[in-house]
Amino acid sequence: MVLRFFAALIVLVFIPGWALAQEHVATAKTPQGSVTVVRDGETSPVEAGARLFKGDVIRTGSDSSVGIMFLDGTRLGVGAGTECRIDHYIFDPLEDRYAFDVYMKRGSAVYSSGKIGMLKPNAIKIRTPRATVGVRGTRFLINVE
Amino acid sequence: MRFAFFLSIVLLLASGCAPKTTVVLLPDEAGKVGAVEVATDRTSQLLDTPNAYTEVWLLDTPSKVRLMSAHDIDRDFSTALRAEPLPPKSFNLYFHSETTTLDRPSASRFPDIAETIRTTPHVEINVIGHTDTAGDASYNWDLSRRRAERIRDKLLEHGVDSGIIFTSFHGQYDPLIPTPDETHEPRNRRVEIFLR
Repeated sequence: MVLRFFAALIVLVFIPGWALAQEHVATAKTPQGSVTVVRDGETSPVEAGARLFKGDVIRTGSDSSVGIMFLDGTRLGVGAGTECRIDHYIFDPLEDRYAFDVYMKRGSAVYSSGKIGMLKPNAIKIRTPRATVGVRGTRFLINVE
Repeated sequence: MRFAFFLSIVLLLASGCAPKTTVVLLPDEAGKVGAVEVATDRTSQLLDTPNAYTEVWLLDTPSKVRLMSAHDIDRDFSTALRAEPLPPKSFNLYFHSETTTLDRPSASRFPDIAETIRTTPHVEINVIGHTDTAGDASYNWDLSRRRAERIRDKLLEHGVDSGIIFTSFHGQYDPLIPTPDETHEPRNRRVEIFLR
């Protein structure tokens, strides 16, 4: 009985955490040219359909681009010569928890709101070295150069 | 005059060589224009008209709002705009009360949904089960799970790869139409298929 209780406890405590850590937050669509991701210090090319995770740094070369589709339907079209980082992302409607925090170090992108933009626009931040863009449910362009 | 010059040099040095940020508001695909706020430590600027833009540069203060021409937007953003993924698509399928049986119009949508899945590049699919508030919350929790699994199975029957389907369920807690507890509402007895 006690054993079963601890087994259940282990499943409850560790499995969801593990599942959460493994979960991707976005998918790369139609990469063109040179597109790489830096994850845990390792740089690798981004293939079409590749899954992206919190903490990933995405880089595009000249004449290169990639589309990023987040779990909630938020979209980024990332232009050439860009470096951006997915700092934080939560899409959890049942617990009413949301976060969208992308850092644009350089380059250009078009952002379009998804479900988070509808449900909790305050949770969305796109930061650059000079400014923070807060979103009220919409589409916009951003350039850092 | 000399002071102003001196001051601008100091500000230039103080602000380092961080790059300039430009933000342009666009209408979305449906033509709707929202708003964005561009903020620095000092102040902020609101954009709420189509093609309005502001720049943040040396003084860390968003510039006053101007309109960017279509030509300039194309010059600076055409690559990003071409890379933008198509909008996600959402299908709501409705069920008979307390069952995992789709109503007739919803059941007839399957060929169309399967075709949309086939033609969307690198698509992933969320299948999200829901119930109305009639009946016990824990019963509804289980019913929403069974509804989602029923739809997942139907997608598999239509040849969709199981690795791109993500099933979840919200019981009675995420109604499309908000109602009091213990309310039969056909529009809340649903599974959402979210293609992204």
